[in-house]
Amino acid sequence: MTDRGAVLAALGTVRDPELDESVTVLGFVDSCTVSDDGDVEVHLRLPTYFCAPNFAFLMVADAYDAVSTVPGVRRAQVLLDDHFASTQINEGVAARAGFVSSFEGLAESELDTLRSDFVRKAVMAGTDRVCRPLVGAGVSSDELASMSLGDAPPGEDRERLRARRAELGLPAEDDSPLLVDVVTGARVQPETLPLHLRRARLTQVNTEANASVCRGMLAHRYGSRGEGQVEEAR
Amino acid sequence: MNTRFDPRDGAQGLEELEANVERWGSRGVKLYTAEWKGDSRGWTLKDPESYTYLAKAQELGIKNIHVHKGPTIWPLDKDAFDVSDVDHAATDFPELNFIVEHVGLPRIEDFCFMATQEPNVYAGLSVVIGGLMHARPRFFAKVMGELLFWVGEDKMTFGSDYGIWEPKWQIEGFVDWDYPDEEFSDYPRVNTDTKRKILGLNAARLYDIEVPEECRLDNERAVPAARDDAVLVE
Repeated sequence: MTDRGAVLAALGTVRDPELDESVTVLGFVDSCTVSDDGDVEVHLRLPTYFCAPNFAFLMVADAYDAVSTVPGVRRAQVLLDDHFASTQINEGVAARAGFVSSFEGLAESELDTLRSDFVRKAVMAGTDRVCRPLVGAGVSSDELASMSLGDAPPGEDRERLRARRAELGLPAEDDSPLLVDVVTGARVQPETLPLHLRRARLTQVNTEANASVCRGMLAHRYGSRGEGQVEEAR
Repeated sequence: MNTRFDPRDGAQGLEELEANVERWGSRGVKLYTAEWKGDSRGWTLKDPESYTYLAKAQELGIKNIHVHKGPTIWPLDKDAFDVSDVDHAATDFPELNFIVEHVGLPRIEDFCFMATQEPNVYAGLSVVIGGLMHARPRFFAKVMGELLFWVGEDKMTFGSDYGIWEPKWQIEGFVDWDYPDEEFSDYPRVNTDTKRKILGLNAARLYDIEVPEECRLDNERAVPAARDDAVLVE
């Protein structure tokens, strides 16, 4: 028999690509049922009827992949509810059709670039979360520029930053530079470091703000907790 | 004061633009690039037809291009809040000012990076003040701090959104506004002159409106506001 907890844990690895947060934490998993035979049915929900269909497609497709690989799952069904493109997305994901053929005539490219652009933003935002406390504690630009990832205080923020960097193929070892260019992976030099950190903070502010707006709209739309939802830190 | 155009209206639209400017003496236009029309699900400022219209507008004496940048759906595979078309047009029409209304929310980071590189790009604060100042004060403070840092107080303009709410409470609230606490201490400071610029002086400059003596910046008044100031003037 398939463990429902294992299915929810798998869903927890699926992220909203823009908010860089787990769909369970955000409250996007409306329900998850697992039959004795290993048939899984997951319903996803989003803050609005018109949330960007490209991001929605990525989340449904990722959820499908995550659930399908849980041991004991015989058949996975992931359905996005209450969205203007629910039908195309659900059918496209079920048929493993890819984004372009699911929206024939309305899209020209798959979503890989979109996804990597947003992982780059996640790296910038994560850089802010890791480095701002260091700056606050008096670490200078020169010191930051010579630090390695392993020198940053251990914790969730650092590991998350490491994981996003690894996803992009950027250096992510303990002896890798703490601050890298998100495209080339080169170490950020002391003279450009203050601007790099400013950009990182701006990206973090934007992500935080969007997450807050999305959570607010979801709460207003449904008024109920999702599976594994975690309230926003205040 | 402002008129509109839609580059999909062809030659007839150009004539209409000319007639509107002649009749109303317009100095600006408000554009909705995301508007659907027939089979078209929006347009961008860098389309060749847009350039024809922008050139015509400039020839007619239009100075200010207000662009609404908010949620769009088409094209599905692109990030829907793209402001890169403003970047292109602003570079190619250096005599025109581009005021990005709603500062590209929810992509203020893309907007800010672009605006720092283009001297003729402005941040239109419509919805930002009305929607955030009271509802999400800490986020509002961060957004203002980022905009003041990246775009600067000389290129930010108040927008009342008079279509959705009344301006009085926004103006009064903004006049009294400051950062909530020291968490925001490394953002640019705001003072009375900052607010004067944002609430009116910047717009007056864009539209060549003469500013009454008592509303000018402290150092631009013929008569110093106070004896203390007079001592400082060489």
